[in-house]
Amino acid sequence: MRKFLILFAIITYMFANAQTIHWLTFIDTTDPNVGQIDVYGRQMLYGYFINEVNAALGIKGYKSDIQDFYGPRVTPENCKDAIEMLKITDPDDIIVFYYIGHGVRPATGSDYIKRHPYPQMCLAQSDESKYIPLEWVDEQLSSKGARLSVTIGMCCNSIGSNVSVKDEPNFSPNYGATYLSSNKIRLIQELFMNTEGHIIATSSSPTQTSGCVQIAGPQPCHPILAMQNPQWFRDWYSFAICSFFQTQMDNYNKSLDWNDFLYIISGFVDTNTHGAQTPIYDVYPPKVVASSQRTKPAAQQRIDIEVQINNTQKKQVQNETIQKGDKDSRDWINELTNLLSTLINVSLADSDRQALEMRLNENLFAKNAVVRFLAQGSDDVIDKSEVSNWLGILATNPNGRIIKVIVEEGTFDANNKIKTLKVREIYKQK
Amino acid sequence: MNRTDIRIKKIKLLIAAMLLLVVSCNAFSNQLDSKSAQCDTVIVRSDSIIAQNGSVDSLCVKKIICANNVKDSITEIILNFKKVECKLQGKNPKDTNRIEVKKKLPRKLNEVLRYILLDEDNYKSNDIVYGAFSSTIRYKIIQSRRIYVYAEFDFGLRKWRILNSKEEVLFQWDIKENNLQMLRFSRVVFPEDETLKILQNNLKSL
Repeated sequence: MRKFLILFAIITYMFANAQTIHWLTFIDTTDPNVGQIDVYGRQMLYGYFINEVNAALGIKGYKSDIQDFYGPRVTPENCKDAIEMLKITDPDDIIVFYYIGHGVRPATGSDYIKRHPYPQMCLAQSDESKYIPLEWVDEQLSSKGARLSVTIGMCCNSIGSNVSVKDEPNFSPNYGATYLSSNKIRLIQELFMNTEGHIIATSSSPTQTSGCVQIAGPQPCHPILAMQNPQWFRDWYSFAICSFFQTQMDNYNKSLDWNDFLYIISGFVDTNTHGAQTPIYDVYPPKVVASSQRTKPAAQQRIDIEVQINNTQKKQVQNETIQKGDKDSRDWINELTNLLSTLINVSLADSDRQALEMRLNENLFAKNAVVRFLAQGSDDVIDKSEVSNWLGILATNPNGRIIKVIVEEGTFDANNKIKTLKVREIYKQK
Repeated sequence: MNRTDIRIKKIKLLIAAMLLLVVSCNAFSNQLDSKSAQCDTVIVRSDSIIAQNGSVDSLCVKKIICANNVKDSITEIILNFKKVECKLQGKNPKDTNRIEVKKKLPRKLNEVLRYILLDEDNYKSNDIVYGAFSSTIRYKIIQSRRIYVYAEFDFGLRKWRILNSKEEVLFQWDIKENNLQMLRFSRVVFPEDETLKILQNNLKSL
């Protein structure tokens, strides 16, 4: 009876707080010119922006759903499928789309440029008929029924002489743990939870290219040396976002909305590139859609914790490794991340969380399983622990010090149980 | 004279001939060194020398500027080409009129092309950008039947590059300041081309 009551309490909590922030990231890490730079750029983006946003919103009950496409999975087909198949389950859901890679725009009259200033994304291939307009992504995501959608394209907006006009696709590092100050948490929550509508932004104005900032190495840097050292470079736009998060947000004492935020980012890039790269953005109120055409969120379903644990366990494959970004990794990574988010949630009773701790330990993890903690902006391992001790710490979570646990990779033994786990933890700053 | 004497005489003649060859090669090489040493001297001195001293060999300076960025053999081709074949690439989808794609560069435009290509502003940088190079026009710069290079231009991306005869990319640079200049030159070569016209209108207006 007691177990039933505990599970009921957890189910009720999860039902009442089912809103989700959905991330779709497409990062070209295979291009011969910028691919290696984007490997580091992806780590920076996740470490200093995405994970922090998820942590701040997790405090308010937001789950995270991450679709992380990089390497050979960055294709126009995957992008189109991911956008078309994305489902919203709660009207308070948030969607964020972020692309890093090559971009281009068609040569047209100036009227067209004024009406359609945003570029087309190349998505790691050179067949222009398959380029996807950023505006199409914004159009699709803003029609899903989420409270807020944000579409960001970090790519060139320069003219390609052989590119056609398209309205839609034509076919088809911190070397350490992450701490969030209460001010930063407040600002992130304000930014993502106090806004309705849709936003589109890109890293350069029409006909401009988007370039890189050199963060290390000798200056000036010879082009050949630059090609040999991609770790010295980050794309300007993502760097601006992450830099703002890292250096400004702790002490930013005004209110922050999307206009303010994107204005700051654009100004930063424009100033530092001496006007050669000027990001643009538009912030729109919610669309007024006829009720017959409005996309209704899928019906909310009760989430039985036992069922969720079983579903997660079924995805664990004997003697295999699941890494974030792998095909088919999304569900397992997101489910386990969300189970751990429930475990650290201090608004649930201690006894409920301890019960959950026991279930996770028995069903998902092997005896003597080990957890490794990764640094904020890189894949360096900064610490490790036995899983049984670690789950105990999560279940107690004194003063709610741990605000997010993000699963990155899991390796399973012959019994389909996790024997090693890699995670990043985000803490509240004292 | 017996056979041995004849042999010794032949060997002496051969040694003398070899010595003569070595000495003359050295003399020639020294001459070359002194010429390039003159050019080296120009480049080591500051720009104020070039401004003050109008008698500096401007071609020598250009050669060194170019040679600092490309191998000497390519510099020679750009300085001494005999003819240029121009070929349009990357057609705009709106361009339904393109018929003429290849053309020989009129001789009277050779020096203009040489002037643009040897501008040191074209060799300053190759910034990393998030756009893929897609050539709008290609110039085949021919010194002789077997000695030539290709120069390709992407006016949208504001970059240009040199390829060898196997079409392998050797070097790539930004062409920021001279981008419209080179585009205008290309329009002089192909005055009727719709793609170049659309491109120029777009880049001029923004």
